[in-house]
Amino acid sequence: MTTTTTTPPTTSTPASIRPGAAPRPTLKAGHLVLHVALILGSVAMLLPFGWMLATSLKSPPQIFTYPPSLVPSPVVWRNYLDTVQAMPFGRFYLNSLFVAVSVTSLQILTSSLAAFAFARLRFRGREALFLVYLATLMIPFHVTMIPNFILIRFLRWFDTFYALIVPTAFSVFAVFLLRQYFRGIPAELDEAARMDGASSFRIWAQVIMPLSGPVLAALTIFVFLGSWNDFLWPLVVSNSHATRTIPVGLATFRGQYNTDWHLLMAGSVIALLPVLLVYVFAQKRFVEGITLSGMGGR
Amino acid sequence: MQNRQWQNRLSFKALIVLALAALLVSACAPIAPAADSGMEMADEGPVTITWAMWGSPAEVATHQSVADAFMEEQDDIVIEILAEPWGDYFTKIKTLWASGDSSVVPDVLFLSPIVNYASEGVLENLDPWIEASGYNVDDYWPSLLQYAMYDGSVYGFPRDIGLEVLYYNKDIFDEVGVPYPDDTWTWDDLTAAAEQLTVVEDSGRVSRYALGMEGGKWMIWVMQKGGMALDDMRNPSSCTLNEPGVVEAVEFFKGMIDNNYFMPPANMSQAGGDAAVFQSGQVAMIIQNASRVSAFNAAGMNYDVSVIPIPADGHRASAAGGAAWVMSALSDNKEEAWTFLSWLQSTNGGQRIYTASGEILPALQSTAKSDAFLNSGQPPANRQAFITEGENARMGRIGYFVEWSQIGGSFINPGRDQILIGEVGVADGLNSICEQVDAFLEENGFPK
Repeated sequence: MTTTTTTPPTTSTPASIRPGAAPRPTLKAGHLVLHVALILGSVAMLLPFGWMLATSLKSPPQIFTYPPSLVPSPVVWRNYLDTVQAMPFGRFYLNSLFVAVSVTSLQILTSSLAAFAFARLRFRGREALFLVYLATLMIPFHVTMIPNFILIRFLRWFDTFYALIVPTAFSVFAVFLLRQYFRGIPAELDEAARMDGASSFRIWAQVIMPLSGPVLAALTIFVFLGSWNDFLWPLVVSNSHATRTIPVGLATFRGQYNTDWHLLMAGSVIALLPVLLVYVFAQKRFVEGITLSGMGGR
Repeated sequence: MQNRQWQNRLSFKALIVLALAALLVSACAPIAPAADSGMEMADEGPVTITWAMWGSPAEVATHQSVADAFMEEQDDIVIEILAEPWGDYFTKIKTLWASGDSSVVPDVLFLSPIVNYASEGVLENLDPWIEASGYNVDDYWPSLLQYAMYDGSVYGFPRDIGLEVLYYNKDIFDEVGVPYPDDTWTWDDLTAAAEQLTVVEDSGRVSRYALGMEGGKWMIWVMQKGGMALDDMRNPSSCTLNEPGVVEAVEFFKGMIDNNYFMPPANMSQAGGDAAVFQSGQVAMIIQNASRVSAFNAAGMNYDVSVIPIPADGHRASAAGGAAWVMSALSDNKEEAWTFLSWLQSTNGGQRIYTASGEILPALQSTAKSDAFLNSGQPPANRQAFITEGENARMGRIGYFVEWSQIGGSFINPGRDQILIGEVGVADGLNSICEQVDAFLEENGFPK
């Protein structure tokens, strides 16, 4: 904190000062450069989305014409209808939503409890256990895929939602992220609660969790996004339409010889919507979460 | 007061957790028994055969109509389709096999290349089945069945033959005033036409190339000159890409690219592939297999096909190869799987339906020469070109042994690309490929 006061305000602005609180907003050359850079940056970020949207409304011969055009003419709305009719799109969509919501809630539940134990409870071998748990981050998914699959078969979970949800309901990364955050919450708060007779579970539920809003919001987005986009595991453990998710469905538009780009992009636009909604509504929390968890702003 | 509020909030949260858990259990419950129903039914009533393939939604619809036609003809076998996206299909199938669990491995599958799987022992040897049933293997195009053979036995039936023809855009030919390609065309005719069809702008940008083709198909030119990659495509002892015929073939190909007649393969894939550049008029001709027909027909293009031009001193040499239907060695219902497989690969069964869909050139000559293919009423008009190429099909485009993918991927393809972009001369480049391949063959104990 002391470092922020000693650094000149031109190079770094403390996050606590809101733009409205600045004494007199002046137009500086630096601002202009900054804004031009930001506008260029946002155009670069938005172009792929614009391209996706444009392609989703073009007929196949329009897609690869030269010179390229961002404006489809004529606009082919039919692509959306064709995409939805090419496969049980609604069913896949519901499956994806159900899996992503379940995985997100379960993962936040399990990892916050584990993180609470690692951050607050005292027991023998805690640090060693945490280290071993953390080390499993090093094992790539592909190494454990076949053993996991055999396990799923053994449990008779093949082609069920259990197979899609349960293995991803636990996450080392989430435990690590939450543990680091929980350790930053003053211990005096739980000590006071304990003096009042609160159990560990109640401290987790009523002291730690309510104070962790930003990091939980950020984690929600990470997990939801990850689960929504997950491809390989759902592909391997789902067979029937009843358990298929959107990414696996969309991949069928890429064939051995041909790719139906117009349908693939129309499907991608529809698939993007929930993610976009989650982001728009949680954006403020999301940005806060990144700064607070020490993952951004450096 | 404060405490009460806490308790309320706690029980509310507990309620949410409980509700979620209930939701999870209830949603999973109806699915679980359904997944096992196939096994329970195996004891009585019809047998379920799982049939796996890759495909786009349109292709899967064709597969489904094939399954429906089969189920209509008999009542003992039920076909259940397992369709996966191209590419990832193989990851999934390998995982299923790795689990060693016959209840999840499909009984009949679409696979390529066959030798890699047959050598792992996961495929059923079809020789005894062919012998017992008298299935006619002579109906396949010459050399095509070789593609699905391993160690002298048949392990699969290619569904189609992926040989190429020359597609040409009639509008562009009419506009420029170049006569359409025909059976008499040689490389010289192709070059002469290409010169007229190519359009180079003042800026040096080529707005229309005469010809486009995926780089991997370069062996067409080599084989037309009598060349091969290896002296024996099943059990090689040396690389033969440095022979004079091969050098001439690659020089012809390279010359076409240098003169802007031929769209560089890298540019073409960046522009969306051969179908995209052909449809948008950026190339006047492409060399590709029958898979493009349905897309070009759907787009209403004015096009036709012809045989691929050959060198004056060469011969036609189409590639005999195609993904094949195989039977899993783990299958619990091999009798029924064979019944389905042999029906699938018969002119009156699956072959006719696939051919009518316009997606393939069928593997069986009798199907290709039937009305289903020759007189389908759909473009291209000159379907005879496919038949002519089919009768000249030969092995040689790929190696029929496991290490081939390494030889192709590590030495031949990168070496070819270096030659085509002009990093090395043609003869030097081919020599250096052969040095590497020979060293690899020796290291791995070839010939075996």
